[in-house]
Amino acid sequence: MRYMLLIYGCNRPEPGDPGFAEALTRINAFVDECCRRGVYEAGDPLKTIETATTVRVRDGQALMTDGPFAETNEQLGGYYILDCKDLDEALELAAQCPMAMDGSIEVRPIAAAPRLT
Amino acid sequence: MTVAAAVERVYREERARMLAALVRVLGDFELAEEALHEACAQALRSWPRTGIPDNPVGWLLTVGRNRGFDWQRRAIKGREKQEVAAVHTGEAMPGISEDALVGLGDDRLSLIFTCCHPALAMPARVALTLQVVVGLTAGEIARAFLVGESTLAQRLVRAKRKIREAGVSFEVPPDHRLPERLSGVLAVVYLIFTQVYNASPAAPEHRELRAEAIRLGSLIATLMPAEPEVYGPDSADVAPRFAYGRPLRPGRRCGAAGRSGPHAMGPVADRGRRPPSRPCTETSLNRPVRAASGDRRRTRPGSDRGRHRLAANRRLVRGIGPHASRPPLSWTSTTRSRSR
Repeated sequence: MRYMLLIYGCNRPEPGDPGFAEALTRINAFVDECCRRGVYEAGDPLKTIETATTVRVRDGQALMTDGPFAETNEQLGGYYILDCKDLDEALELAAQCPMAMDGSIEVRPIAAAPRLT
Repeated sequence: MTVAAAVERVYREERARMLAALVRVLGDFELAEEALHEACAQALRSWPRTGIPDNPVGWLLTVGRNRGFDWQRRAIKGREKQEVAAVHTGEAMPGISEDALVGLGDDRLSLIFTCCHPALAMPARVALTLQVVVGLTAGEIARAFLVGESTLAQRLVRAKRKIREAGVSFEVPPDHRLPERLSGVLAVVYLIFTQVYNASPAAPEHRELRAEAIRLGSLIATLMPAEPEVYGPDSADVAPRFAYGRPLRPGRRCGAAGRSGPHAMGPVADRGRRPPSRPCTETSLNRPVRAASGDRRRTRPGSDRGRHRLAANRRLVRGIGPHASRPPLSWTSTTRSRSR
């Protein structure tokens, strides 16, 4: 079953920050572990929420709004998509994810998208 | 024996085992329950004509499994019109034979590990175990924990759906995950025991439930002989900690006279039958209770331990209700030392 690990509320060190190299090493080690198990599908950090634009279409009109500007600890910071054996494996990997030490990780099963013929 | 009596007896005695096998095969609690009920209904219709089969459990499991697969296929067909990209059919064991179904071993243990999965909230775990493994109705559980029946029913449905949708496994966890999963399971087993211990002494089925709690505890003890958590602080034998309550006469109650219900009492070991006591350690089924109660006092052998435990049980049971101020079952530390 495929799971999405949604990463919330962690500080992401930028290049040049102290601890950046160490953080990157730990994250790479985590991704390597996922690849070694053959569960890794995708994963990316997201730019901060100041860069977000929200789109809604109402009455045929696309409305753009700047934001939303959620609190730091409510921002989605990044994600992984892992194809795990079961929830236990997904939870185990989520616990190994370095971002779990700092923020929190929501593990959500990915639903199958219905397709029209 | 009439057919109705035979069906009732098989259902009463083997319900959890059959349910466990069907859950494993069908991958869905709700479907498994419906399939088992349908199989029993089918038995009431068929057995008067065909006679009671030699292996009624196998018969019921086969009918239940086939009916469950039928429903799944029909559901998939319905969805195929929209062509669902990927469908979880739960047919992990499609070709399983009747013998293999019966021979799945005691799947009740894997069932209880699934019901006590940490992905579920503690109240849901307790309710689910009581309903699925022990066989209490939603109404009985609701009354026992003083919550509304509809609240509890909703809790059960949500828990079962989460197990299905989130891909919770139906396996006993592998060795490296066992210790962390075990304490939650033991708490639930202990609660089942204390809860049914308080039940009406006139009802023989409650004695069976108590035996069921002891059996499940013993099963865990057998599965994990090296795990001190399963054993009591002063138990030298295989029986888990609370089994000392077993020799108590049926109908003997403890707690204030005239009071009843979960808040009134807990198990008190029959001290006359207890093996020689050693100082109590923190590693046991008893420990979480003491930890939850904040009772850090070291209990002397032959002291008022029963009374302390009674108070602790009361808090534990109360913690399951909707007004719990904090989760009482969140102990995490594991003390391995058994000596003082």
